[in-house]
Amino acid sequence: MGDITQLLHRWRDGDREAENELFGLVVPDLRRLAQYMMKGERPGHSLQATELVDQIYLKLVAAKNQDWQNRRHFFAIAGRAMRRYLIDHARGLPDAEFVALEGLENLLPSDSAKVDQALTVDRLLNELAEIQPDWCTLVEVKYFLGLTDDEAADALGIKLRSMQRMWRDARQWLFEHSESGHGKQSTAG
Amino acid sequence: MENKARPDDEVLMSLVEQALAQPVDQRRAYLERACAGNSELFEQAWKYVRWDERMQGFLIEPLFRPPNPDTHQSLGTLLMTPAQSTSGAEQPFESGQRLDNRFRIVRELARGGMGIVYEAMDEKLDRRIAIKCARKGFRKRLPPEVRNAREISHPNVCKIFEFHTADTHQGPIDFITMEFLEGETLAESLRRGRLPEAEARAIALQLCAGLGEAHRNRVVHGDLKSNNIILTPTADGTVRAVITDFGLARGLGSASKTTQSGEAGGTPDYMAPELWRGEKASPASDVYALGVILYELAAGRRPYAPAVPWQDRLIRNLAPVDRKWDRILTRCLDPEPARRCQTGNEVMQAFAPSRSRLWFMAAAAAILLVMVSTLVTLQRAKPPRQMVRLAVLPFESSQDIAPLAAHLTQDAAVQIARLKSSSQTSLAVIPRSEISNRKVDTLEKARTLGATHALHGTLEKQNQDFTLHAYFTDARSGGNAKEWQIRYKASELRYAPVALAGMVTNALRLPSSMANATVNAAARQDYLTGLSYVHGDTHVDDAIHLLERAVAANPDSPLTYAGLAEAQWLKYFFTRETVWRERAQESVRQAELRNPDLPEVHLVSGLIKADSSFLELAEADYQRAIELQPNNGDAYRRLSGIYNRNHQPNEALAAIQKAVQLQPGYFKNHQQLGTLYILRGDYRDAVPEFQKMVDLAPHLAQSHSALGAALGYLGRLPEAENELRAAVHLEDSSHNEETLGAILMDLGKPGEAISCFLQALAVGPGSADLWLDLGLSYGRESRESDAKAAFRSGLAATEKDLIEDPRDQGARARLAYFAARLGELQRAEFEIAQTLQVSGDDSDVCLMAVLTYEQLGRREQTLALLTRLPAVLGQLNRYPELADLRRDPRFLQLLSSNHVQQ
Repeated sequence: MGDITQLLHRWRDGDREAENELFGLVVPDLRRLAQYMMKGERPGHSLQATELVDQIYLKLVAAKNQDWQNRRHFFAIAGRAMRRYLIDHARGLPDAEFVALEGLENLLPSDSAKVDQALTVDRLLNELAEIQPDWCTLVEVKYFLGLTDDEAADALGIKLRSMQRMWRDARQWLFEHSESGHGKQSTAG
Repeated sequence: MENKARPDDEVLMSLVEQALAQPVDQRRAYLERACAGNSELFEQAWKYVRWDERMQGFLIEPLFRPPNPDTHQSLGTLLMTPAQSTSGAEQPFESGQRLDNRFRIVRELARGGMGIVYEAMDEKLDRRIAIKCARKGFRKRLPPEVRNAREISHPNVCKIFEFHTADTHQGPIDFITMEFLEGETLAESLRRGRLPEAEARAIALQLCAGLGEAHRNRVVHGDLKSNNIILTPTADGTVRAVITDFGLARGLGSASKTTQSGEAGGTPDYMAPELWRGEKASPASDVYALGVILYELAAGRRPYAPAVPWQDRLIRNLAPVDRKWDRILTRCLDPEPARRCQTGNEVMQAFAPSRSRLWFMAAAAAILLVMVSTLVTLQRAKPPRQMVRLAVLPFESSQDIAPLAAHLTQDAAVQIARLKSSSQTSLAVIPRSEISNRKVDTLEKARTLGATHALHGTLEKQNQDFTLHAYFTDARSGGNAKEWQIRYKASELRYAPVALAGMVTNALRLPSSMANATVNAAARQDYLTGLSYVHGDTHVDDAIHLLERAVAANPDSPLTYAGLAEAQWLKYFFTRETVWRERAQESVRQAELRNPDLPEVHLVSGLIKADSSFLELAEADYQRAIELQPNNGDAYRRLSGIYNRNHQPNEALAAIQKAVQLQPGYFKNHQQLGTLYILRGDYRDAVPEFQKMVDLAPHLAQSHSALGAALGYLGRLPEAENELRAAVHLEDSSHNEETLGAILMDLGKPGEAISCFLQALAVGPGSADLWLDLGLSYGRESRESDAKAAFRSGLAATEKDLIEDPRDQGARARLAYFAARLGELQRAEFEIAQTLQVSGDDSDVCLMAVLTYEQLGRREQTLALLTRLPAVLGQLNRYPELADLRRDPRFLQLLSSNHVQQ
């Protein structure tokens, strides 16, 4: 098992293998997060996604290596992992690593349009990652990980307003491409 | 140029946000105006706005509804948080809407993930309330668990009034009406920095009290945190800490499934380790959360950084904060739930001083009953001079007594118009003609006349009696600064106008309308003589008789009734017969219905309130008495008693010193000062005060017993014996005999001690402590079978104590010792080990443990215990039973290394 800091650096530099290793490290904990999120809100149990990711991160990273830069990368990987996790399940293809999904089917959005939309977004993100990797990360932490604006800005290390602008840009791009490609979101705008 | 091409994100995004907040057809015009000719900026912003309209919220909702950030602050907190304008958010209720034909929604205060909180007016009761309802998609119906929370009625718990259902076009929506609280959350307050020690402690005690009451009602909070605590200022400048959201943590929301292992509930920093393990919330997990809050109060920060995983919290030792807090914090934050205090009340008890040798203290503390209070007061700040324009509104009533109510209003207005302004408050009363000409009968109409305050209320007739309910309301906020309810007989109703004027002087802290009031000549002699008896704690029956005569001679005076109430209260204090308390209460009512705002009336009213533990109200009475009569020593002395009960020792000391300064020749002041010294452990300072008490009141047994107890503390045993003999001579009470017996034991006269204890048993009930001392004395006289009999009685008494309070660890430790002395070795061993597990750092428990282990022949255990808690070493001298231990070289080594002399 590689040192997570190292892995994060390698992943940031585009190492796909590092990504898989990171997934392996964070997935068991992310599962908890995913289940938590999919159940929606549990009043009185108001852990936020950001706190959970922080906990996972802190658990995995030796104290001396904690720096904010790495924490940001970690949020990005968490968003990525969550995307993969959720999409696999939306597709009904549980990965061997994500076993023990008691009752997950009940937790998936009942609205099949929403599932379709998620699959479309996932497909388009592969494309977007090539041209605007930051936008892709932002969509992952906002849409898949469910961070708030403030948290997302923090996770990306940019100002709130810049994040909001980037978020609009990314949504517009995805909207435009999903409209032209699939027409599912057509609003005749 | 580059900058021009890409406008600043800050400017651009706020423009877009502003534009989107406009109605659709006005957005363009808005942007054109806002961009003021900057076409580049306009183009960019307009593009985003158009896109926003086109995308219609595309991807705004995460794939799975995320934990809403607002839930981080739970609903109660949201009372304090300004509403966030969420465009297009659902609106279960709207401003102005009336629910149930009774509640008018004023505005949305806050919304969270689960619910929305509104400010509303309860038009039936004309009071401001808060309404909370669940958000759409969470649930429309409230679960039964929440209903338990309604049972809690405590000043430190946000009061839930009722559950209602509103029929709306969205279907039925349940909502809760509850107390409206103004103030800030504890979290907000702590963000500004640590609180002063006295204030922190005061808040801590209130939280313990509130939580304790909830636990008594079997309600678990489940999500206690500093965000859930509201510090709300009260009308008289005190602060009230209120826990909100009781029962809502678990109640509101999705049906609770069995918690799965590994899932965390609650807010992480406040979550007890067992919750992380997936166990259900319990009173003990609430106590853990309370511990985190107490830690925040003591240290100004949380015990663990958020980075510390919960597994580490199981082993990590807490960094010490403050000697005064650490023991309590450890007992709240123990990772093992069973070792924690089990309820809020237990935590509160942990704040109380050690019961070590309480029997000594008891004699001196006879006046100051040491108990933990639930309310607390902070120093009142001097407000800036205020300009009050008061409207006296017509008192409402049913038709048949309308003329009476009109009369009352009119006469009250006359009385109030005569009131004088103070240096702090300038009072102007709106003329009656203006009120009646314009038919001003509501707060709103009063405001149109420029009223800042209004006096209004209702008069109801029930059989032959009338109930006057009066409110003194801040017309601007609608908040009631004072609320007052009192019952009048028809013949007494004529006093009501003056009493209402008294309510106004009290609320605005104006000079009393009856400054320098006296009783008439016919009553004067009886009144003064009766009061002098009360003052001297003597001839209480004569005092009652004289003051009853004074009342008969001057029935219109509030003073004669206040004096009679004092005498009746003293009688109650001596006899503890509730009939006297009831009589005193009735006399206070008589005094108050004549004029509630006189120093004499406040003084006795405070006594009664303090007796019911309404310390905050009692303090307000005493403070007001001092305001009216700055040289009133009685008020300072009683105030000191309140501070003492509130665990504000410095304030208590300052107040009693002021009383001594004002009335140096009054024994009660010295008695109380001496007692405070004893409670602080300053025995040396206490002795001269009790000596003065003896000089001033040699006829009182309590003077001698107090002095004797203090001398006993100092080890001046022969003098102590003399004083206690004098006390017993004056009053052969169980208490005095027991104290004398204990002194005689220490003097090495177990034979004489035995006769005292037997006498104590003859005149009063035997406590476990008394049986213990008696048994020990018999043992020292080698009267083994008598000793056994005493220990057996002690065991039975302790078992009874434990049935009443199974968590009384001091009793459990005594039980162990009794068992050891009776040869029940296994039981002794078991009980003492259990007790040490829970209260291993309590010096009383350890002392008993040492005695028990020595009795069991477990020297190793004794030495281990003493090594861990050397503080106990100094107390062992009193026990000849430990002679063998004292010869052990290892023990001698312990003594010398801890600088304790044999």
